[in-house]
Amino acid sequence: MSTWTETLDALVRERGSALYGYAFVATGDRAAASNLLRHALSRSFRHAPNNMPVDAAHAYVKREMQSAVFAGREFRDRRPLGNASSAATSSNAVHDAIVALPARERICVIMRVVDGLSSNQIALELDLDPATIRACVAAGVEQLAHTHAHLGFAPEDLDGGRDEEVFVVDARRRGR
Amino acid sequence: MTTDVRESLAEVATSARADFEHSDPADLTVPVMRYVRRYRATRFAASALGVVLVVSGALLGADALTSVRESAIEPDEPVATPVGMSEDEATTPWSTLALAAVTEPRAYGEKRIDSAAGMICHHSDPADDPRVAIENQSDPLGSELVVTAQCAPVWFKNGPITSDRNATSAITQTPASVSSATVIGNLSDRPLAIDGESIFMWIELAPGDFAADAPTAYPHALVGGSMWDEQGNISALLGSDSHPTRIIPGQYLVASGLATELDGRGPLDDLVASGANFTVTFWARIHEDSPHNGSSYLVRLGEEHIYGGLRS
Repeated sequence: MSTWTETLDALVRERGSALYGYAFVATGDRAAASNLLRHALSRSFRHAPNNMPVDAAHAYVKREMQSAVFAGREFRDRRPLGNASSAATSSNAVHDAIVALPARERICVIMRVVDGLSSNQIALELDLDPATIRACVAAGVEQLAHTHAHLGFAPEDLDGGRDEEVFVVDARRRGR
Repeated sequence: MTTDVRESLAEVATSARADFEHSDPADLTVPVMRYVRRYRATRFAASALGVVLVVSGALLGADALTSVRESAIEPDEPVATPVGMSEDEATTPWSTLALAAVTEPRAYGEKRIDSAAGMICHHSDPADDPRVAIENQSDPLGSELVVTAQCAPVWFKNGPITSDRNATSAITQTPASVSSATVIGNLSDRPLAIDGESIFMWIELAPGDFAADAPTAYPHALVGGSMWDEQGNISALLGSDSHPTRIIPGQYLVASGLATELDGRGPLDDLVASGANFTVTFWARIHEDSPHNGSSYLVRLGEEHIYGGLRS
């Protein structure tokens, strides 16, 4: 049986880079990404049982990151991980445009684009009302189309379509 | 366009992942493990404290402890994050570094409502830190070591301010002893982590007499004329503990001390025989594995209380 510390070690070793990459996409800043990841790991492992599979831990941590960004928490005050000489932010125009969005809209757009989730699925992940998520996605895409028109963002590209899929709500989670 | 956006973000993620590969995983895991261990230990301690308070409340029949019991037992999630603070800040205990940043000198008799009274004890030789010796003690009732130090009196502005209630004291004549207890609450916006073994009471017989003799140290108590000397320093008892005791905002800690004169005559005999008033304050050392500058940071728990002596 593995203890929670062994699970944490394995998670960071096997999935740490993926989680950090996601955190960086979500924050656009190395220090903020490091702190977001630390925060999510800390929150996830506070109650983590022994013998938790790495896959489950990965999902918990990712969801904590998404929730933290959605809640607008700031993580910009500590030392970043990784190569100190590398750029603190990305130089990718698309990413810069998304990072410039307010936190809620940003994480909704990222979950839509990177994770390929529908608004209903995002709502389930964040334990929020689907209407709230739809409004967030719409606002984010609209702002991107307005402020970064030269990048070619268009509402029909990022919104719609997936929500029409048949979707089964997990009643146990919704009932929490 | 969605595909282009996804590819762009994937590029960014890949670049960040490469960055992560060059980092030391310990930078990530060590602070997380430290936080999680402290969190779990606090939950355990909170449960234990709840049991102690329930028993205390039952014994004393004190309705006043009702709210203490509730607040100590029920919240196992951190309390709401104060406005303007990140959740990390709200759940991270006061550090000596944070306290160093809000340190101001404190003069005798000065009172403030926006600052916590404290003291900082500098150790010229780190090997003198009593933490090392005390960790080797195995006495289940607590360390019997009595290590004193001369410390600088300070204020921690907007720091770990604490309140107290139900403060009480009792004295006995044979053997001569003074005991005191109070319920400490944390009024600040973040947890206060102290060495449980470091809590001690300062019993002053003449607080304004700076020329008084050096105090006598007992386990968890200093007894003397004044805690202040003529140079403006304060004597402190440096107990220590390898595990933190956390007082979370909204929760309470029962601080108690007992000083007993067992070896012939001493200042406790004089105190009891004199029937004079005496002043009691509780102090504790901030728990930190590597305190700022290797110094011991102490904070006063609650207020000072003056008790009347016993005239036989």
